[in-house]
Amino acid sequence: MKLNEALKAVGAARNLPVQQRSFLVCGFEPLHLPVFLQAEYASRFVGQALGVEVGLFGDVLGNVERALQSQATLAWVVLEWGDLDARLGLRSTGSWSGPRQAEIVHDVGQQLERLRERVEALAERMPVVLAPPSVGFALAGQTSGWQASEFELTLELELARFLVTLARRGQIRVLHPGRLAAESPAALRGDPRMALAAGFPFSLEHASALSLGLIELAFPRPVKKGLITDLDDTLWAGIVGEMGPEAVSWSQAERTQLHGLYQSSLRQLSEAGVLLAIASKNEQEVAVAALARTDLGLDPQSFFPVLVGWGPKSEAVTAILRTWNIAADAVVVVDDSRMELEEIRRVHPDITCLEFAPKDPQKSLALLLELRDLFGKPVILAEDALRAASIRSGAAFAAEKGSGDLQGFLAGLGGTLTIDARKRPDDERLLELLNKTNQFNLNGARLSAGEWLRLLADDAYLVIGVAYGDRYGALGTIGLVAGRIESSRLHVEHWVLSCRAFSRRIEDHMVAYLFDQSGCEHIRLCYRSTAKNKPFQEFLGRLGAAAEPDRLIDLRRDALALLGALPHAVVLARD
Amino acid sequence: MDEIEARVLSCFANVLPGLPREQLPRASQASVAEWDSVMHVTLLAALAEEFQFEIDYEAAEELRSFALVLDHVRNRT
Repeated sequence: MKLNEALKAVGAARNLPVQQRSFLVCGFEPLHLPVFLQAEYASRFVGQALGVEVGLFGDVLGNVERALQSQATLAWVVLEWGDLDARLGLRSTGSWSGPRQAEIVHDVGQQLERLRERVEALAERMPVVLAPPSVGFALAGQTSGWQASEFELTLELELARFLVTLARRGQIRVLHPGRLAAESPAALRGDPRMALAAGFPFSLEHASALSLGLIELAFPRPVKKGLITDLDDTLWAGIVGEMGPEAVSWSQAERTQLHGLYQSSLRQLSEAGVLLAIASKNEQEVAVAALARTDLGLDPQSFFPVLVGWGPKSEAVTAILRTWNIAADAVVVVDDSRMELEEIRRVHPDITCLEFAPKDPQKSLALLLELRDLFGKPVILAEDALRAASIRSGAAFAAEKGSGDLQGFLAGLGGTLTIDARKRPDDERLLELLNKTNQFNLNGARLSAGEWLRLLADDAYLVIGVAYGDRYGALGTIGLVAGRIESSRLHVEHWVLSCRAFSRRIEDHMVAYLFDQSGCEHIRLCYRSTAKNKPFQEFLGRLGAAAEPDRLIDLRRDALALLGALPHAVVLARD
Repeated sequence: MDEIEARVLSCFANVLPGLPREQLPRASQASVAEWDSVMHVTLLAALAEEFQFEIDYEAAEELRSFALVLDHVRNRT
């Protein structure tokens, strides 16, 4: 984005409501950086504005403290070498040669430790997006410019240790130097003229690229949940129906390594909880035999369902979406055939279709990188490991449940709810549930990480997570209800239940718990109808409450009688 | 108004979105409260980007009105 474009966008947004308050922590003059941040935000979130507060020039540590004291719900920490030691910046005349190098290494280490403590404290209050130094200081080092000196490498090592420590914290996101390098070549990042004249170290192009990366990290795009793959010339090289299961390949020795890399990428996705399925036009027997090969790059059990046949692929995709119970816009299809992708796209226009080009390594690698962007999550949660297994067991559950005696079926499951009323800021699962659940959702309200942390810090606010398991397996944490008690009434502001947990009456247990634990005779639900929360409306109907759009619904304790006996055991989580 | 003046006006409008467009040709640091040192540097950067020339920030300290800026840009292009 050009500076003039950014200025125009920010000018156009100046009267819009500020939806997000952020704090830019840096030691240099922020100058154009807030403008680019606000412009990128405005282009992503039309009709909303980003507030960016800044601190004092030359005081990066103090600015972290100022961020902590501010009303911001998000912090950007953008470091340059001069913040770690002034002698490593263009505006200082301090020397960096000879015996001073050991001193600089020591001082940088101390400064990084001070920063680490403060940034970790900041991350207890709000999400932090951190950009490591991106403009090199190439003057320090007695070697030729082509040779990295021990001094420079030692500084990089100190920095790397600092970044690794912070990257382990869930609420801290570190900007990927490699990705930034792809957008902004190293040689074009600095602007010495502006650095010396105004204390702003970046070229306009680099400031723009940096801001784009910071916004993408702070406001990640919705993550895809499932990937449907073709087999022939996609998962493996060759047509298994013609060559036989032992002849299809995916190795460097057979010059089909791209398929092996694709399998490894799928394995990584599966281990992160992404649902995988197969839609292939083939004979079932030979396809399954090839999938059973012991040298396949991932466990064939990772794929569910596996739909192999000769009908239109769009029908297989429809069946897979139904089994997974997720929307098409959360799914990616990978196939080497443009014709198949087009056919699928016609029936499912919201699905993301990606062409696998096995003869073109550049394109294939670009596809694997794109998969990383589409599916990448900051943190892998325990529920991610359970997801695929729970989908599989959900299919078995649905088949056994049938249309008979639900109450008797549920009573025989041996189901246990674990209710957890402890507040844990480092547990990201509850916020993920709140922001990703559409169907069983009280009002569709979403919260930023910063807003969520503020609620957790409020002693008057209740947050209850619900986990569930039965003989079909553990589902992990699948429900959340949150609110506050005011005037002897519990006001419920958020209530969600994962669709994987439907048909088990878990929501009935949740409402019973709310009455029991709060001691209130009335519960007020801040209900709002959305395009997708029909399951919640049906639940309200079972409680005898009419789901009129956008109104507060009062439930009385005696509504519990309408639900009848509850089928599962309940355990309360304790420290 | 020629093309150069129109483009300079556009840069000023981007940096001073709250000022009515008809007042921009009369804008100066003395008359516009928002025209501080940060805005000044931003304006120079916007002009440098628009007209693809390098700004000498020290010399540009003196460009404290629309008229002076326009004059400077005309001399540079």
